[in-house]
Amino acid sequence: MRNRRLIIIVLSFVCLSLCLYMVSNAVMFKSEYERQTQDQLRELGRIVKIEIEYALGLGIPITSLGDMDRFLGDILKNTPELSSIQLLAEDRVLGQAQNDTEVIQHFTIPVVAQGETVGQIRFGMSDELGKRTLAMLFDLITIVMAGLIITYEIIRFFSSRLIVLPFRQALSQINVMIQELNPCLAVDVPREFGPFVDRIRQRIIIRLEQIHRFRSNLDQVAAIFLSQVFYGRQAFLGELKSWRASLDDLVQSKGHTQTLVDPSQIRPVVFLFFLGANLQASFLPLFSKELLVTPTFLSEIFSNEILMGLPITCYMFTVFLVMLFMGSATFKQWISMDYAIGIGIFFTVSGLIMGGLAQDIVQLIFSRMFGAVGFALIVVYAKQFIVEHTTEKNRALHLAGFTAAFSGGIFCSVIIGSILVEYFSYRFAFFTAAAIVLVIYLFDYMIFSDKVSVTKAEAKVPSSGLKMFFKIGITDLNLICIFIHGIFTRITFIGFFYYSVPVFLKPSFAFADIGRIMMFYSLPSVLLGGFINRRIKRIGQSKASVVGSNILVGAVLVLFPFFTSGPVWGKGVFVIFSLLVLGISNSITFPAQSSLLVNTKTAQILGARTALSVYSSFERIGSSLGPVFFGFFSSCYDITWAIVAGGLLCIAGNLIFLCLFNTNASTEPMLNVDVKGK
Amino acid sequence: MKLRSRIMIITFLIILFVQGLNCFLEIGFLANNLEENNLRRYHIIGNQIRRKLNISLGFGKPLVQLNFRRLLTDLIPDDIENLHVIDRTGKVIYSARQKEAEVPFAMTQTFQRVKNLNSYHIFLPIRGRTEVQGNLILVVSLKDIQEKLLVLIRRSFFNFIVILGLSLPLLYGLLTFFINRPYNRFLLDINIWLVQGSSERLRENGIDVSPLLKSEQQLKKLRASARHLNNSSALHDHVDIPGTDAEAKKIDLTQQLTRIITMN
Repeated sequence: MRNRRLIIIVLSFVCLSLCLYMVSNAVMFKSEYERQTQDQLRELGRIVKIEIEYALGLGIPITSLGDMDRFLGDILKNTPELSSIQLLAEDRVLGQAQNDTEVIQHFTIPVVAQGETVGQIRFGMSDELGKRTLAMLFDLITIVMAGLIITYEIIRFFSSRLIVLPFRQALSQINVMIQELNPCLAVDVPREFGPFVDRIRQRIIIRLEQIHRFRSNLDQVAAIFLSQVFYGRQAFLGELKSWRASLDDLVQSKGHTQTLVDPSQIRPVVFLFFLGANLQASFLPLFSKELLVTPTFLSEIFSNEILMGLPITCYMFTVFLVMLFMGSATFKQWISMDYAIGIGIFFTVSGLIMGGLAQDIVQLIFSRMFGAVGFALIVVYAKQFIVEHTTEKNRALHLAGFTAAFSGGIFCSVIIGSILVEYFSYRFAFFTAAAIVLVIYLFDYMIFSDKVSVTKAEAKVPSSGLKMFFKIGITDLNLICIFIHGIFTRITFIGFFYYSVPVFLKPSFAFADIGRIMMFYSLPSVLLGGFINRRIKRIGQSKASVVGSNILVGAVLVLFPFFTSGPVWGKGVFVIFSLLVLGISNSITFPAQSSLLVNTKTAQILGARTALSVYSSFERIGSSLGPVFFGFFSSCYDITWAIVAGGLLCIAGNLIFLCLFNTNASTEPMLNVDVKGK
Repeated sequence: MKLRSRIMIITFLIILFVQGLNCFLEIGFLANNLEENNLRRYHIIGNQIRRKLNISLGFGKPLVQLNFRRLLTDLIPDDIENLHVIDRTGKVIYSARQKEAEVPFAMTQTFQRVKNLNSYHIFLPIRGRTEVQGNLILVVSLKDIQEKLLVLIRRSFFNFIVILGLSLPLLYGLLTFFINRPYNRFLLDINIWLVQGSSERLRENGIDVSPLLKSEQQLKKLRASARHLNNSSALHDHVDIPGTDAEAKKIDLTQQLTRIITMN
């Protein structure tokens, strides 16, 4: 049984019902929006009417009312729902104000003086309602997408774990039962296999009886022969012995079946972790700002702007240190990787609860540092789990699953986090995040109930640590290439995505629209990551795809000034295009880099864990250098040319990687190198 | 538990969870938007009132000396809970309704909206010729807004229940048709193939019964070999039975062995 059909059915069904619900909500709320907007404008009309009629009540004729343009202009300035206001008397315009938006509907209010209608105020409604409805629809679509991503991750895990794996396990058990002619096996197959298994078991029992009877017959023959024949019986007894041996071979039982492990089981752990741990990402600086009201010893040392960024900086720095420490021999001696998720969850949840209870910036910084420990543990464990349970052929595919789960988690966290904060509070979002992360324990328990361990490869080299890693790694050109390439990739990614895109879009777009545009980055890795990486099965393919996709990203960034110099919509479309290219590139690059890394000489000698830990921590260096690099070029020239410089750096880095990385050296067996690297 | 029961239970639980979460998020998002939009009405009114006060202050009159009742009475909407004007120290100098302010106010230099337990406070700075002289505070009842929203939320939730109620039987049908039926068919087929001895078909579907057949053949082969050996010259030519009637004993032994070997 394959889970693809079930996933397609469930996703199609969820998509259909969510869209239906979304449309029903959109229609209902649009009409409510319309009603509210008309109500607002009517109220505004009433106030304007009262003011004009007040002046008319003093005996001033309507044609003599002065400075009406400024009066109407003031009203228009604060009302984006309006496109124009005119004061009319007998078809003469006495005063008017208008902005550059298009009028989609007019409505008029009569102006009355001494019981007579002397003129009218004409309001031109702008398309603000349409714009807001469109924005609302886009946001609703993102909510639906978040729902689909969550469904996919959950259904994938449970269909694999509770349906596909038991089905395959059942077939495997039946096959082993038949192979070993052991009726005692296949006891925990699904119930509906019962009649089939019983039938097979019955046949096996009959066969066993036949074998045993035949064997006992042979024993009886041997006994008679022994008692009655004294000379020349050796040949006959020898023959009987060989028959008995072949009968014994038929019923020889190993008594166990192979446990199937699906490496993608780790996906919901990654997904839920990024969903929970990043729930605060959209509002953390604002929350930090709120906490700055309470003075601390840091307030005297740093400015408020620096303090607002300090929780994020400390978080990244802690991640860097912990990941590096995870590669050390001391860490391996003290903490088994099998408990990494459990410990990681503990730290993350503690950090989130501390964050929710934080009363000043120092407490928030500590809470983030706690969370960082959990982040480092879970990310490295998840990658290692995948590496340990995959082969070279399907490693890229499953590592792409990691990237997809990570991107999906972040995508959903931004949406859910912003809604929780708007509707409840910052602190509530922290506690919800802690509750979401706690759910990972359930998945962790399910994975460990299979007695799946990630430490089997590490057992070979228990003493491998950072010192040995760097000692061997310094002579491993491929490893150095991957490390430098990883830093370059991160500089381009973080520098472009987190720094340049918001700065570039800000003059023409609102913050909410920038957020909507940036969401396009996650889509390729969520939707296409698995599809693309399914085709990458060899080291050479990994190298080619990494270089190709990154040079494409570089080329897109280099072309930035040519395609963004036109109208605002063109700017937005090209940024979306570049984010989609970046998303596709990263969904290839991140898994392929890890895949190439575990095939390096150093990783093969010392095991994947140290290599993955150190590599992950070195990636943080690239992440911190990204904004610095783009910021430097931005200050020297402007943000567009900083993006071009980023593109050139990306192309140059990948060309160097293409020349220096040797795929043959990675796949050569390390027969002549010992654990000490000699 | 049966696999098909698992499929049904898991799928239904996941659908309920995801739909519920989506319902919560959509209602939360839309209610929030509508609340914002609702408050915009008071923001627009507040801006007009402020504009009028700003013009009055522009003539140089101090804030405390303005005739608020004359200036504002017609402009204040009925559905507002209260309207206060405060000076720079935060002291209330005018209230539209004769109610005490629930909380002390602090003047702000910019537009602000504060959500309290029962109400929203919308702060609009009133500017004189050069500087902010006080704030206009609109107190909007949160209960009124939420009552309006509750009607919509109920309708949305009702839609959710209807969609879920109509779609779940459809899902049940889809799962039965595309998952359970093929699965039951598969189970039926493997039983038939087993009875018919179609080991090839079974192998194509992941079940290898060839060891069972091989063992049967092996057993037959061994029996045949045993019979052959029993009747062959190995027993008659190379075996030496002591005693006078060796040949008769040999025949008797052979018959005895044949009986035992062929016995099932």
